[in-house]
Amino acid sequence: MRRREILSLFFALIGAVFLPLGLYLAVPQITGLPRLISVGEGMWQTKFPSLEKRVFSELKRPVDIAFDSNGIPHIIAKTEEDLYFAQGLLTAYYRLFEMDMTTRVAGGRLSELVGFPGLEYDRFFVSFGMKQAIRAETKKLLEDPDSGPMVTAYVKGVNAYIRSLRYKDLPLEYKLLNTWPQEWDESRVASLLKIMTFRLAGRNFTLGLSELIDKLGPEKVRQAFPEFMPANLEAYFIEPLGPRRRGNPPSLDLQNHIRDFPPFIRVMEGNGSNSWAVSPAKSKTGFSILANDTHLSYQLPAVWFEVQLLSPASNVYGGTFPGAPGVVLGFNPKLAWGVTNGTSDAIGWFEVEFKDDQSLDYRFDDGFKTAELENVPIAVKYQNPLMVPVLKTEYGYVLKREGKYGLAVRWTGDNASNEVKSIERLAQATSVDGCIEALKFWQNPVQNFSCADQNHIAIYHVGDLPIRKEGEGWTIEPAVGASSLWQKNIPFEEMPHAVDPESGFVFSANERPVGPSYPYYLNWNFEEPFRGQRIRNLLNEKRKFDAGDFIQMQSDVLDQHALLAMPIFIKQLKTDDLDETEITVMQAMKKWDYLAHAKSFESSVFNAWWKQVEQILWKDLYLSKTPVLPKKARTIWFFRQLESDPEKWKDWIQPYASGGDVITLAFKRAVADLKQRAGLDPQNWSWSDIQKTSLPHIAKIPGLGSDLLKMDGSAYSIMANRGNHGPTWKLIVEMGPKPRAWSQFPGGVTGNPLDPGYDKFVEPWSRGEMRHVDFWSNESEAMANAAYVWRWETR
Amino acid sequence: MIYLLALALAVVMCVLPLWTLPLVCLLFGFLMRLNWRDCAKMGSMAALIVIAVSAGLDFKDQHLITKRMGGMLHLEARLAMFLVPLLPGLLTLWISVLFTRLGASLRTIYKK
Repeated sequence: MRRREILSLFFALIGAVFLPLGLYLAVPQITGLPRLISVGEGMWQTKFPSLEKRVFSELKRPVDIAFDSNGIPHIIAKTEEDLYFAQGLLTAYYRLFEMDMTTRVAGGRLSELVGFPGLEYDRFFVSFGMKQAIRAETKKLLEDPDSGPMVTAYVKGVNAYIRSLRYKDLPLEYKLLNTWPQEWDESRVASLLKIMTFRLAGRNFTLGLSELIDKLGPEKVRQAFPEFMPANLEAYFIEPLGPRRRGNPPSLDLQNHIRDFPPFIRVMEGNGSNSWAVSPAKSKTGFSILANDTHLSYQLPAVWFEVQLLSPASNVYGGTFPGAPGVVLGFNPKLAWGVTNGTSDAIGWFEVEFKDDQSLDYRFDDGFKTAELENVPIAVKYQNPLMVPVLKTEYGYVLKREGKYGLAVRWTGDNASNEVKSIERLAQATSVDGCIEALKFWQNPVQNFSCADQNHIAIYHVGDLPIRKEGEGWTIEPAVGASSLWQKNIPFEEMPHAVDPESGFVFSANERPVGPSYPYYLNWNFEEPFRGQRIRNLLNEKRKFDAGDFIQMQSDVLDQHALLAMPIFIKQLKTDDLDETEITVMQAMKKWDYLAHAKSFESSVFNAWWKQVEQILWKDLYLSKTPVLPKKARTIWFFRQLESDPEKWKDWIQPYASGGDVITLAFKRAVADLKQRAGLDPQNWSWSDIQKTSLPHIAKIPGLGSDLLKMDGSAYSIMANRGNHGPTWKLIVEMGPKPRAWSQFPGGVTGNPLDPGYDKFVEPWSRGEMRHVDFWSNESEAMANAAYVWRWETR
Repeated sequence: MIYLLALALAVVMCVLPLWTLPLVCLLFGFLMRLNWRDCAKMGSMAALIVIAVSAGLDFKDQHLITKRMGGMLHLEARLAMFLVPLLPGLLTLWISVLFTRLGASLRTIYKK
């Protein structure tokens, strides 16, 4: 062979074989790139394969998927099993990556999909005992005659779709991650329920409060953090029924030895929602009307998958979580229901005393018990599996050991529960009584359910909540034995609730449900009362409502927080030392109507001002490290105390002489901050430019989220837009012989970022527009009105 | 002939799974015994066709492909519209030149 030919072969081999091989060994993450950018099967293949006419051997009878003019699917099946099979299959078709990801988080399987970035979550949730909780929940789901077949059929549907996939048809995210979806088992459904429970039941400030006590001492904390605020800073959605029945807050003496706390995945504070319903007496239609908007972190694909499920046994429309069967919130021909997060405290912290540094034996009454140690592997993409030791005691899972002490956490989510059964019963319920019966099966997380049939309304705070002894629940408890264990939950009948109240309406916005007359401890740190107060005021203002009024209410942007705080700020602001811009701003703030419109610069000023007040008062003076700040209503209360009794409270704000000094300094800093961020002219400080709103991709992949949106609303207006968090689903249902409904959610039916439908509803949602819902009573009505229909045959 | 081969490769790249392209290139190289210059000419032509097809598909899909891919690469929208369709073209060029030439070299060894 000539030398030239050898060289040719050498270079061709290097370029074609050895270079790719070397790259594969050095950077395995990029091995999927060539396939991703190939035109024949990569990201240029933008559409999911059509499922218009398919045959599925798992089906017993043919299933129709009728799409309305908005592209919302309505699944029409002849059997319940086929219905949930089709729901699983259709949801997987549109949202496979989303449901794969969300059903991996709780089980500690995120790193298997996304690699190293998922490890922090996996390690935490594995240590938290989630795998064990998922195992128990899966068993319970499958053993139940109602939920078992539903879950099994749903998972079969998901798997039928996964099995049908070719590389070309894979969702873009799998192509980017160079991975393939694995077939599901039923534990995925349990895993989704657990992560939603954690997101919604993880509101617990025990560690933060313990840190506060450590820094401030128990007396100061007792003084500034009473369990109950004055009534004008609360918005109990169930009116106080009688005299105070709860005792005073505990002594707050810290008894724990561990003061350096383990990392705890923070739950987004604003996870909440609004829901209200009016009785026929307050309705223009003569029938009850219900409204619900659920606040979660914004994401694309959308959090919710909207669908109608129609079979001979049930007919239900609403929002579903991709990854679980049934409709979580929505309506059927006779009943509508909505949900807000209960925000009661379902987590307890205990300090366990072991025999010594290494021992697994821990103190229990007069003797010792042995902790169960399980080494749980975490699979990590492109890496060796990681073993995480999980230590279980009677008091909960030990998240940290320091010397002979361990910090154990217990939460009600450890209990095996069956929310799918509750969801199924809600779908079948035909009255408010039926709704309440269905809620008896609801265990986790604690939620406020509003129900409305044609003539009645109700609200129920439901879910597992342990009965705590007087003073328990605030700080880390010493684990001394059987008396430290949670014995019983608050009985369902004694959970806060109201049926057809005299006011003619029920509402909730995550605030404290009941006042001091309620005998059980629920939490000391509920969500702020502001949205609840505004909803209550609006419902009291008018005599009768219709759906149009409710649509307006859901878009209401009056910032109740500002309404309560601004009079104090303006009154105490010292004007002597203000410059020209500051005086202009101050004068504008005096005239502000408290509306948080996108163009409002006053909203930008107020929020910057408040942030500086918190910085000066809490972070600079006391809480430089803790991320937990006192609630805003408490801070307002604090300034009121400062004003009414300055002598008693003055040492709290040293070195400042008065509340006015704090407020004035905060104002000057806020104006300076806004000048720096948005220029010298206050008219350019529009709220939507300061609070930037966008919907990121669920896996935070750049480019797959939404553009920036010009959005109204602030954290404490009913339209609770926080920029990265807010109403992810809106529903209004007018009950009647045939219910009429309107809905909206930010996103689209499909989860395919390369499909225009991916963010189809984002713009109208951002403008507060609602879509009229096509709710079809039966198969023939669906077929007559559908924009187009898919038919799935059985073999 | 080179142009026909380039067209065939572009069709393979745009229609079939990616793994078929190196195989087809090896086959072409083996049968046609193309030198480096012809391989480069053929590869460039195929790449140009692929770029045109990519840009066309992107246009048809309202530039969603380049918008998303540009976002991932932190590219400004117009720049993404120009650069992103080049990627499959470059891939085509790389595979077709090297594998065709590899096929030709293998043919030489085989003959010896």
